[in-house]
Parts: sequence; C-alpha cells; structure tokens
Amino acid sequence: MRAFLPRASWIPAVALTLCAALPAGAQATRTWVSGVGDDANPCSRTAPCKTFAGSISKTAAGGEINVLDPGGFGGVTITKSISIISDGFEAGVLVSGTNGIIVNAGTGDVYLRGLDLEGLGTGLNGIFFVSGGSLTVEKCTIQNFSQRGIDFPPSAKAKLTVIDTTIRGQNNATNGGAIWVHPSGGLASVVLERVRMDRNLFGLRVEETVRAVANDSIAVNSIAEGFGAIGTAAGPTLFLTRTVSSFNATGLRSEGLATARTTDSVFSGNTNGLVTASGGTLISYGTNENDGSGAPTMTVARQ
Amino acid sequence: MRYSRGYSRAFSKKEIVMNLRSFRPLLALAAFLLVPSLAFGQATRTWVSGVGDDANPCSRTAPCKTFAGAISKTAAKGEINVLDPGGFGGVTITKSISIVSDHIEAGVLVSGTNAIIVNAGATDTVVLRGLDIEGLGTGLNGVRFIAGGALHVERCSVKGFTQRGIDFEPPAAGQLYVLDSVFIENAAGAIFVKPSGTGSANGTIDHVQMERNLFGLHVEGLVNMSISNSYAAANSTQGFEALNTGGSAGLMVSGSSSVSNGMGGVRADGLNTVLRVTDSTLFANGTAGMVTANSGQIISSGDVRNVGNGALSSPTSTVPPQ
Repeated sequence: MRAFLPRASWIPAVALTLCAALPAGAQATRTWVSGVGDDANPCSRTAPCKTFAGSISKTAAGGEINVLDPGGFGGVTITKSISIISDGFEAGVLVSGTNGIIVNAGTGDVYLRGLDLEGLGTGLNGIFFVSGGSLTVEKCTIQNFSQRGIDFPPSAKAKLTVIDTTIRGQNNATNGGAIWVHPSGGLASVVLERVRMDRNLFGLRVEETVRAVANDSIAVNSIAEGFGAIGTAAGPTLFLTRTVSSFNATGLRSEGLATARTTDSVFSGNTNGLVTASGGTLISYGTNENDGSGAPTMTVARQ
Repeated sequence: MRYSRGYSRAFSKKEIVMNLRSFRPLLALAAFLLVPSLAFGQATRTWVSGVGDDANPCSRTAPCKTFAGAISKTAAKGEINVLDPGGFGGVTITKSISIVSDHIEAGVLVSGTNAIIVNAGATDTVVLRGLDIEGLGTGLNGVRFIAGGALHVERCSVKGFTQRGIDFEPPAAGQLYVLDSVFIENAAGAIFVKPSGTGSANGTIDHVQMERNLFGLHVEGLVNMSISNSYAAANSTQGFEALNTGGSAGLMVSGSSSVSNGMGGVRADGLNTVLRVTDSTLFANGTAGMVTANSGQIISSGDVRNVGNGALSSPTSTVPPQ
C-alpha cells in the first residue's frame, strides 16, 4: 500500500497531460494569435498562439484565425479552407528568402484580411497560390518581395479577389510584378477593387484562360506595363473601369489572343499609353484619357 | 524489490533537482549574454508603445517609446509597428523603413520643428502609414523629404504646420505616393513638389483631401504627377497648380474636385507647363475654374464641370477622350 501511493500520485499528472492534449489535438472553428502568445497553447481566446503556422493546425477547416493584439505572426502554408483576419491590428508576415503565404488548399476557400506582408527585398512571393477554389485578399499590404506580390498559377478553376490592398516594390526586373495570374489549366476569374500597385515590374498581368476585371485601381511606376493581358494559346480578357495607369513603360497592353477593354480610365505619363502586339484587341468606350502614344483598336459606343 | 525501485526513483529526482540548481549560474549568464545582443542588434520588426521605454530593445514584449528611439534599432528595410496608442514624436529617417500603425493612434506632435524628415539614400523607400502628424500651428513641415528614392504616405493626417504638409524636394529622381490622407491648415500649402538641383519627381496622389491650406497641390520643375479621386477645398490660393514644369505633362487631374479655393481651381503657369484635367469639378473658386499664365496650358478632355467660379474660364485646348 505504501509503495502504491506514490504510483497513484501519477494518475492526476497523467490525467492532466491527457486534458492538455485534448484541446490541442481537437480543432476549434475560431482560434487566436497574439504577439505575446505561445504555440504550445490551444490558441483559445484566453490562451492564444504566437504564429499563424502554429495556430492553423489547431483551426478546423472552414474556420477563422483572429488576431488578438499587434504582432509579427510569420509565414504560413494553408492547406484547407481558412480565414485569417485582423481588424485594426498590425498582423505582420515578415519573411526573408521564402514565400510569405503559400495557399495549397485543394478546392478550399482562403480569405486573408488585414495582413501586412513584408519581404525585405529577399522574400520570394508575398502570396503564392498553388491550388484552391478561391483566394480573397482584402485590406492587406504586400511589399518588397523579390518575385511577385501575388503569384496565381492555378491548374484548375479558381477565383482571385483583391480588395482595398496595396502592393508595392516588387521591382525585380526579371521576376517581379504585383499580381501575376497565369493558370496552367482551368479558368481563373479575377476581380480587383481599389488596389494600388506601384514600383513593381508590372501591375496586373493576366495570361491565357483568365477573365479579369479591375475597378478603381491604380498601377504606377511599373518597369513594364501597368495592366496587361497576354494570350498565346487562349484569349484572356481584362476589363478596366475607373483605373489610373501612370508612369509605366506601358499603360495598358493587349497581346496575341487577348482582349482588353477600358472605360473611364486615365493613362498618363506612360512611355507608351495603349499598346497592342501580335494582334491583341484593345476596346475603348470612348471615355478614357490617354496623354501618351497608342489608340484602341476599336471604340464601342456606350449603351 | 519494490522498496529499492522506489528509493532509486526518489534519488534520481533529487539528483535532477541538484543538477538543475548547479546550472542556475550558467542560465543566468546565458540570459545576461542574450539581452545585450538583442539590445545592440537591429531587428527587422520593432515596436513602440505609449508606455514603452527607449532603453528597451523595441521588441514586442519590451517596446520603445519613440520613433526616434526605435529607428536606430530597426534594420534597413524593416518595419516599426505601433503596439498601442501613443505620441511617438518627430523622427529623421536616413534609410529604407516603414512606420506602420493600423487603426491605433500614432501621434507625431511637434512645435517649431519639422515632424518627419526623410534624408535617405537614392534607392531607399520610406513608408509612413496611419500617422497623425500635428504641427500645432508652429511646426515647420509635416513631412520634409530632402533625399531618398520613394516616399509613401498612407492613411495619414497632417495638420497645422507653418510651412507644408508634405514638402517633397528630391535632389535626384524621387517618387511620391500619397493615398487616403488628409491635409488641413498648413499655412504654406498641403503638398508641395519641387525637385532641387537636377532632381525630378513623379508619383500619384489618390483619395486625398486638402482643406484650408495655402494651396492644395503645387508641382514645380521637372515633375510628372497624377492626382485622382481627391479634392482641394477652401485653400487660400489654388486647388491644383503646375508651375514651370519641364515635362510634357506636368499634372494630370482626374475624378477630382477643386472647390471654394481663393484663386484658381486649377492653374498652369509657365512655358512647357501642361495641366490635364478630366472628369473633374471646378466650382466656386474665387478667380476662375481654370487659370493660365505665362503660356501654361490646361488641356481638358471635355467632361469637366467648370461652373460658378469668380469668372468664366475655358481650357487652352480640349482633347476628346479615347
């Protein structure tokens, strides 16, 4: 009996261990990160985690990671439907030499809001989309990556929506660019709403099977084009409404099988205003201001 | 058998405790070595707090008190973040840096001096986001840029300076971006762009409000700017003005309003000065909606609402939109 007592004292310890393991192993639909959190925590409101990567394994598919207070929460690879949301707090993803956020979510839907992605000039892509049903980027800042702000090369049908976001400083002359949509298969549907892109290799470039619209957005000081559509095997479409494209090598470019349309937009201070190449189509509604070279291939009256 | 197992377990526990105790001085030494390395190294992300201390390493758990104190502890290209509301003081920036506050009061309140000076390298980029820059009617300039590659001012308010809200005077090629910001009561103008020496400037202003300054936007010299979705209201002189620009298109005004300014809604002054205006409103300005001087040109796209100003005016030429 005396010998048994010390052993019995293990039982609460074992029970505690099991209890601690349960919340960690189970996945919550809402998890929390904090600048002073700890990834050993269950990522609950009262015991938040420290990083997005640490909290994502504790977040159920379709769930949400929220930011409790300001912090740098590091890069993350997303492999399921998830929302990462910061409302009003600095939510930093600062990386050097790697991608900021990789989305490899199968057919899952990924929503990123309020993140501040910083590549320090050496990070690869701000957001690299390998797979997923949709990616929505809202109220984010993406800057100083050596490749693209958002690289979107899906191999199946996928949607990209970028809203109220600033993407700047992806100005590597070979690999840079703000938003590059170039599916290898399936149709990519793209919407830009109030996106500001400056000092990138290009602003928005869409290639092949893409349907893209950009509203109230700005592309300035791009090494190549502010907005461009290129089709060699398929015909992408790009529709600009109330956009400003200034001080780029090219304001708007339509190449090959591509069709670009523009209305109520301004092309100012570009080396070349409107450019078509290899048979590209560029349709205007007669409502654009272009102080540079080039003209639409056709003008269509508004209905 | 049972007894000896129990004894050996108890002994080993005690042994572990003793070993831990013997390590304590080593742990203390390690901690001592770690703290100075954090203090003197530069971090890519640093933090300021309203209750911080500049003697801290500016880490998330030991934040600094001022931007000036944090900047020396921040690596070039890094970020200074704001942990909680506070007044963080003026700062001189000499390298690529982002100072970022998201929806947390980040005050830069000065009297008698410049609030933020950018004097950085030719390829350096400076980002100021979410700052509340206040001059109390005695501060010199809100943001004074005298050297650097690019300056981004986003979601800032700049108020009450005796000189300019932004004084952008690059000595080489400089780029200025002002987004979602407000300029109020700056006695020598809201945004002033005039390269020094052989410098040049271009850039974009979008969704910016300029009220009750000497002028809204003034560009001068070798400058190519675009302003969109913005308004200049109740400024003493001009809403938007281009003076003696060397480029073919000094200033493009689109989707903007210039109303109730003391003199011109838009004004182009000087040979080779071209101010283009499209889809904009010029209303209730004292002198006229469109003012030209010294062969300056105003080119309209024919869709400008130019009404109710001190005198009738018209553009130098009209080029229909494409």
